[in-house]
Amino acid sequence: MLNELRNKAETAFKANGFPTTKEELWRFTDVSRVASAEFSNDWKTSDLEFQPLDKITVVFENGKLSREKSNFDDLPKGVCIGSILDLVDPRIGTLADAQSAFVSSNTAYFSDGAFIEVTDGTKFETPIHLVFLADVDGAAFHLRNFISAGVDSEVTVIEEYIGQSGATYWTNVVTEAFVADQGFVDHYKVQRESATSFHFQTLEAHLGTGSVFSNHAVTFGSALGRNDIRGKLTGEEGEAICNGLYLLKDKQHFDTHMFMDHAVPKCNSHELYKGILDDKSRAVFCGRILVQEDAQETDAIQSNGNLLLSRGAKVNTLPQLEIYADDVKCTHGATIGELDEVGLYYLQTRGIDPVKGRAMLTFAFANEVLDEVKCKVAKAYIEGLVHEWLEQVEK
Amino acid sequence: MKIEDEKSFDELTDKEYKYGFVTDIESDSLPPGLNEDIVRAISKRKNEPEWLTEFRLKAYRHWLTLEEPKWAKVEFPPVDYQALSYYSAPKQKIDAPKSLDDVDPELLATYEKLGIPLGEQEVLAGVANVAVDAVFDSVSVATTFKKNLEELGIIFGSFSEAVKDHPELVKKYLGTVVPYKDNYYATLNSAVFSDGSFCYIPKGVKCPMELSTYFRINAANTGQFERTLLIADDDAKVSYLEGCTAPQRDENQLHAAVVELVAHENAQIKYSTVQNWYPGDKDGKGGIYNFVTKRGHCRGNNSKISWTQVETGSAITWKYPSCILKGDNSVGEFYSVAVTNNLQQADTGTKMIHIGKNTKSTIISKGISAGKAQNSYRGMVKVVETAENARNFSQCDSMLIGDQCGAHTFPYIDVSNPTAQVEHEATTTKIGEDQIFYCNQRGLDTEEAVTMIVNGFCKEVFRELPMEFAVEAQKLLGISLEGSVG
Repeated sequence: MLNELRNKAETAFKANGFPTTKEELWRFTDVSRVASAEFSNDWKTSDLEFQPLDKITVVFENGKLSREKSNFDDLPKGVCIGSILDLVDPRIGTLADAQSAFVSSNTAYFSDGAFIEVTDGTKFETPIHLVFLADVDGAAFHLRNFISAGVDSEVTVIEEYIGQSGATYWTNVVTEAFVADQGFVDHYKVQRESATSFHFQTLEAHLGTGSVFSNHAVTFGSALGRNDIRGKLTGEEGEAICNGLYLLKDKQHFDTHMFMDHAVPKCNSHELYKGILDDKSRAVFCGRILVQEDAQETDAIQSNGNLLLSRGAKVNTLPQLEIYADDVKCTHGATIGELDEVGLYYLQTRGIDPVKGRAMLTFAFANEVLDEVKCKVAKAYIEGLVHEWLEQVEK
Repeated sequence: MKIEDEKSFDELTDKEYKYGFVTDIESDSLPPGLNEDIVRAISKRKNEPEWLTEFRLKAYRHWLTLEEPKWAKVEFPPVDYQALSYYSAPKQKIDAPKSLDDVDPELLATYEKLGIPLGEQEVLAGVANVAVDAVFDSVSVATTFKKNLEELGIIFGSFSEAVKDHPELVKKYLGTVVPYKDNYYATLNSAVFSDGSFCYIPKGVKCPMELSTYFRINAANTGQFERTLLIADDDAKVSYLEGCTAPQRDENQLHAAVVELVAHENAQIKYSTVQNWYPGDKDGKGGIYNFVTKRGHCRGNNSKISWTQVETGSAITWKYPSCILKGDNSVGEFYSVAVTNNLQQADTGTKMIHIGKNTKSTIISKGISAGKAQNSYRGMVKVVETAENARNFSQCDSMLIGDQCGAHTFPYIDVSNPTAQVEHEATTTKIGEDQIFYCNQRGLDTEEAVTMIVNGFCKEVFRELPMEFAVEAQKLLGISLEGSVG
């Protein structure tokens, strides 16, 4: 089955090729650097270190699962974790957009990835920490993850990408998540790729009746990167939460494309994205909410805030609403600006010097996204990384 | 909302477009089709100087290389550009009317029927204080108050006259805001534009009355391509109104206009439009394709351009009045109400390009969609590197009436200067049943209640309109939405 899927995808990839900036969805992100580069299939064990967040870690080194570094042997009943190559599910490849070059190349060439399944009624509280280490210069890593949460189940997944500083490589991930009725998937992504790498991920979630899919994507790394996040609400009273934070500096270019499809009535979707941009970095945010004809009583809120710390930083934001039903509550907002001088002045009158005041306000700006994080270990970890990033920028 | 009274509902939806009559007037038209000969013929008929003929031909040749834009969220069968006639003028008894007495009475009657007083005695009697340039099909038929304006040095009249009398001004400004290569429809307009209005306000002059152009399409199978050029020199100030109607016809008619505004130092231009082209019938048959390019250039420091539009007509609206804020401290404003009912489609919005320092822009857009209509806001706010302390506030609200219509928002925000402050907000709502119930309780029927609520929703825009227009706009809104409650 997988072979057939791969062959089809390879044909599609070869026929369509990479997108160009002439295409509306790729107007602001030029991927010719990825398209024209030659990537190798070299492999070695990784020397990179990582910090396990909880008891369960699944480690992939340079695109392949490492049993030695991982720890997921002791699992309760109803929870299954493994390599996607061993545990093939017929739903693989049914969600992700087969026309996209990044998805089709991934389907054709993925070398490994995580398979996570929690069965009906299983509530698994321990977060599953997926670690993807990359330290082969010039390599391409195609990774495929699959998450399936059964009826009335619960699972927390943290994807973390760590790269060797100075290494140039291409990470291309596709994650497909199926959340059955009343299921709950709490998903996090921490992207700490090397500042010279390319990172692309397509995350597709399929939500059943009364289910909840929550996603927090925090981006620090990659020279050129993009998250394509797509949610499809197919059962009433489903809820999708997609929040994110991108912290960019130097000449980093990061793009977030979000698409939320309200196909049925009475669903909620909330999106809060914030960005802090330093130096000559550039952020692109495109959030599209589609409310289909029958999707009455939809409640969709989207907001994108951007803080520019330096001259030369650039933001392109496109919050879009496409609404075909009348009984809906949909709003979106976008802001771009620098730190509030009045706020700084207030802090100064309270004896806080401008440097510290600036740091406080910048963190407060980012913290709005972190406030929404439910998983405690993830929250503490991400907060630490944000502070670290801010300290570097202040210097 | 339930249909409370089946019968009255039907009566309302059948209500006819008030301006749908046809004037039986002899017209002088060119045969259908478009080629270099036609372009030359239009130019020749208007006795244009060589440079203008060249401008048209350059545009025509460029147009041949272009394709119709496909990115807007509108759908329509392809337009056969060879089936259209590109020039239609009401036949005059004498070559050029010297005064209103020379204008065909049939024409004057048409304008009277539309409620546009062209006879100055009426105006003097206090009916209105507006100078009108009336454009019938493609040609300007009359301009009122010309003398009074001339005394102040204001040049206001048809584009063709301006080409004859003030060629240096036309040559200096034509195509500087909307270049002939700008886009498909603007390029087509540059090649075949027939007439339009020209206005020049000299240095330091504050125009004492509202200037107005009234467009009327009458002839069948013609496209209307007029061109408006408005220049406000240093410290000048002007308020300009534009209105339009067309007869009810089964086939679609094309209207591709270009409006260019230039504001020099400290100048202020306020441009208001009430667009009420024939929208087609309730099955979507007929109606005007309104593909218009409007752009203002705040060239001087402290200049200001304000667009206000009330779009209730047209089968398809494709229109993005924009401001290029080049001068320091210049201000751009865009206030828009777009109402679509039945099968109307609108894709409209604005572009604010911040180039100068301390430039400010405000966008208030209200979209109302009823029946099976699709209404999109599409806008861009761009702050380039040089635009220190640029400020933008955008608000786009949509209201949906009925469960078969669509309301969409596509803003593009590009910021490249950290001192910029840009905010965008959009909401989508429907009229609450509790609101209607409250009005019903107070003795208003549902129809009245909807009109009232919608008027309240649009208040921020209406108060930007000049008085006479604000009243008309509110009435129009009521007419456009009739039959949408069900």
